[in-house]
Amino acid sequence: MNDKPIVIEDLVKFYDGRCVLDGVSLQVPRGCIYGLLGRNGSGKTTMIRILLGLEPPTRGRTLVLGEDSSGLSANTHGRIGYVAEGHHLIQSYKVRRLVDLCKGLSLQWNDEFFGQLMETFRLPMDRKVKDLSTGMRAQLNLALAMAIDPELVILDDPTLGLDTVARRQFLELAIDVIQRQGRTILFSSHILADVERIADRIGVLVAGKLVVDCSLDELKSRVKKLRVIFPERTPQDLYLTDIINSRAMGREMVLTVANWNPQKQAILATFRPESCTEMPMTLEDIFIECTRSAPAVVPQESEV
Amino acid sequence: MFTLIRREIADNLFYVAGAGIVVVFTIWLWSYGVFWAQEPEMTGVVAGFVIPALLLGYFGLGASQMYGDRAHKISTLLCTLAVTRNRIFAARVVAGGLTVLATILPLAVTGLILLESSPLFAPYRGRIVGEMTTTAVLAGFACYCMGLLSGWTASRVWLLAGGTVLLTLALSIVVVKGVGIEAVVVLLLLITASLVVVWYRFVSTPL
Repeated sequence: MNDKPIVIEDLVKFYDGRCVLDGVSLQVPRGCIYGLLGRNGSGKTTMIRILLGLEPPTRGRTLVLGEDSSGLSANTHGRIGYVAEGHHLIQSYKVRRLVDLCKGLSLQWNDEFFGQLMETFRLPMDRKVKDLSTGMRAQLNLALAMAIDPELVILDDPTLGLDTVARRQFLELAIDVIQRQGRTILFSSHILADVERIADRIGVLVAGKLVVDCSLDELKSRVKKLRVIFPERTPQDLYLTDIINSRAMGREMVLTVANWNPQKQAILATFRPESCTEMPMTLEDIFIECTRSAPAVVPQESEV
Repeated sequence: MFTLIRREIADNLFYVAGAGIVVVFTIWLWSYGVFWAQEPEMTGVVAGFVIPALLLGYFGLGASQMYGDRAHKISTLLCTLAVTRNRIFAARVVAGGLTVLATILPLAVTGLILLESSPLFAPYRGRIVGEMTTTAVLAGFACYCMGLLSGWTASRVWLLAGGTVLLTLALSIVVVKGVGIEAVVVLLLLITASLVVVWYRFVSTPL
């Protein structure tokens, strides 16, 4: 058993001279549900593909279940359940044939669990994969990934194309899977409510850099959005570090700060604001603030 | 491994079954020519049509395996199961090799039986058993390997152009050198080189 099923060290990836991943380092502990967030083109899928050995990195190293991704053995592949963005299933196959193929190439296959999933999703076994709707293909991909009783589950935007009911079913299934001892899930998603609901650790990729890597609670406690009203005009410089975003209108300033602590509070107090109100932030608010501004790395504590 | 080989054959049944039908038809024509029509010369005429068709079929099989994989992202799915790229490639080549053997060996066996019944083939007896069969198997496998090489491309233009040039090259070698040790050596070199190149391209290309 590996304590850190996923280890990424200084990962860099260039495509046609364009930097897609810029020195990403992260570790996912065993049993963790890691939610990877980022806008389109931020490098989420590339990172996942490098992890699975589908793509070589330009620099850096990735380890999955203790093995280097560039040379994953069949045994390690067999312990990973993967749902790809776009669901790479063999379109010309009938569902039954695809299931038989996956079953034949798996280290272990949980027939009972797979049957339950097929029943829940009401997937027809005698139809061709290309004749299934996007949602049904997503469900089939998910069922195939879960049937192998994976130690590590990697889901790349798995709810893409699912309707509300199917998305809810998927989330409940993911929770069920994580409740089984020792499972680790890495999943990327655009639906922040999903991530907020099931993830216990969050990573945010912005232009190839990992600007956030901490637990969900830590993220919410460290990132603060403040509405500050000054007696006169807003000051030119607040002398605060880790300002993610700021917007000034007359005497009022709306400020998003990472690593909020008593020292920063004291510095702000020296400007004698008339009022300083904390505005509640959802994960979506934090994500939008983090991704629309210059990166300010949240996890490390700064001096001030 | 067996599952992968079975998948390769089932997915390319058109070529495998097509080659099988050609072989059965050829054996029937040969037998008819020698035993019933008493025209053993007919075997040569039939072989003149059948051999190029079979070689083209082997090329098509290799190209279809690789092009189909790329177009339908088959290896992308397989690589997420308990399978490595090396195993996928090995299963593919084994399936191709088995197809070549399963089609050429029955022809060779039929040739042997016909030898016993017709004095026309007497001077060629030794060569048919050894050199001709070996050269035919290797030429078939070389065409298959070139199909693999040409098929691992996203462009249909390159697939057709590359395939035509390489296939012509392989056939020319056999025609110019004739059957024998020289042809065997040249074909072995061609097979090794094309297999190494296509293996490297297959395991190093992002899926």
